[in-house]
Amino acid sequence: MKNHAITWLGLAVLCSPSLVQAHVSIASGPAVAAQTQVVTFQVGHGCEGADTSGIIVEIPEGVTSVRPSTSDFGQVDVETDAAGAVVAVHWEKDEASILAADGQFYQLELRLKAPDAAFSSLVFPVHQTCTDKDGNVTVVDWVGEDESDETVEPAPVLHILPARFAGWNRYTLDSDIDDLSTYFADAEIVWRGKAAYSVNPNTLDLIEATEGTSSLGSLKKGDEIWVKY
Amino acid sequence: MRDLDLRLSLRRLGICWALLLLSACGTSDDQDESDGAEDELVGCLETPSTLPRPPTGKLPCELIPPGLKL
Repeated sequence: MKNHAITWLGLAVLCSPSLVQAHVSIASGPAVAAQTQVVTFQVGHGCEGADTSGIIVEIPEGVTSVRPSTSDFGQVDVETDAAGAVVAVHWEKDEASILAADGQFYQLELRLKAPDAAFSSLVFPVHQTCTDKDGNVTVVDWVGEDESDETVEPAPVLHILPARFAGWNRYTLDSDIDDLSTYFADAEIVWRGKAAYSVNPNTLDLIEATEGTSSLGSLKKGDEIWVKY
Repeated sequence: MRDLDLRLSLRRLGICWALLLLSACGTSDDQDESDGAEDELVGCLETPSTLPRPPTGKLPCELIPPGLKL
C-alpha cells in the first residue's frame, strides 16, 4: 500500500507541467537600473522530447534600446509598436535546423536598457514553440507572474538593482521588499538602523550573536539602508 | 688526590659542554621543523593566534556600516 502511494506521488510529481518542461529563465542575473546591458534567456528543454523550434520574448514596458543577437536559431526578428519601440523578439529556426529530438540547451541574448527603477522586477512573457520529428507543433506559454500559481508556467523575471560600488552603498527604497533574498543575494550584509540581513547563514549567526542588533526580515518604502558588496 | 679531583672536574666540564652542544643542535633541528610548518598554507581559522583580531563570534567591524555604534 505504501509502495503504491509512493508510486502515485512520484507520477504526480513527474507529470506536473512545471517539471515536464524545464523553466525558460534569465541566466544573466539581475540588471542594473538605467543601464544598457546584455540579458541572457536560457531554454533548458524542449517540449516532451521535441526540439525547440522558436522562441518569442515579449518586452515589458519601460525596457528600451532593445537589440537582439543572432543565435543557434539563426535570424532574429523584432516586432515594434507604432512608435518604433520593440515589443517582442522572435527567434525561429529554419526547418532544416530543427533537431529530431530534444537534446540541446539554448541561450538567447538581448541587449537592452533597464528602466530607472531599482529594487523592482520585470516579467518577460515567453512563448516556446517545439516541433517534433513528424512536424507536430507544440506551444508552451511561459507567462505566469505568480510563482505559486501552478496552473500556468512561470515567466522569466528580471530583477533590477541600483548601480553599486564595491564596499558600502547607501540607498533609499522606492518600494517595499518582502523577500530580501530577491535583491540582496550577492550582498555581504544589509543594514536598516540596527537590524541586519545577510543571505550567508554564517553572517546571520553573527548578526544574532551580536548584542544590540536584530535580524532584518523585510523593508518598506522610504527605508534608508546600507548594503555592503 | 688533588690531581684526581681536578681530572674528574675537567671530565664533568667536558661532558657538560658536550651536552650543551647536543642540546643546541637539537634546538636548531626543532627550529627548522617549525619554520617548515609556517610555510604551509592553512585557513585563517586554523591559526587564530596569528590573526590581528581573533574571531569573537560577533560581527567584525568590516560588516558594521559607517556611523553605526552598537
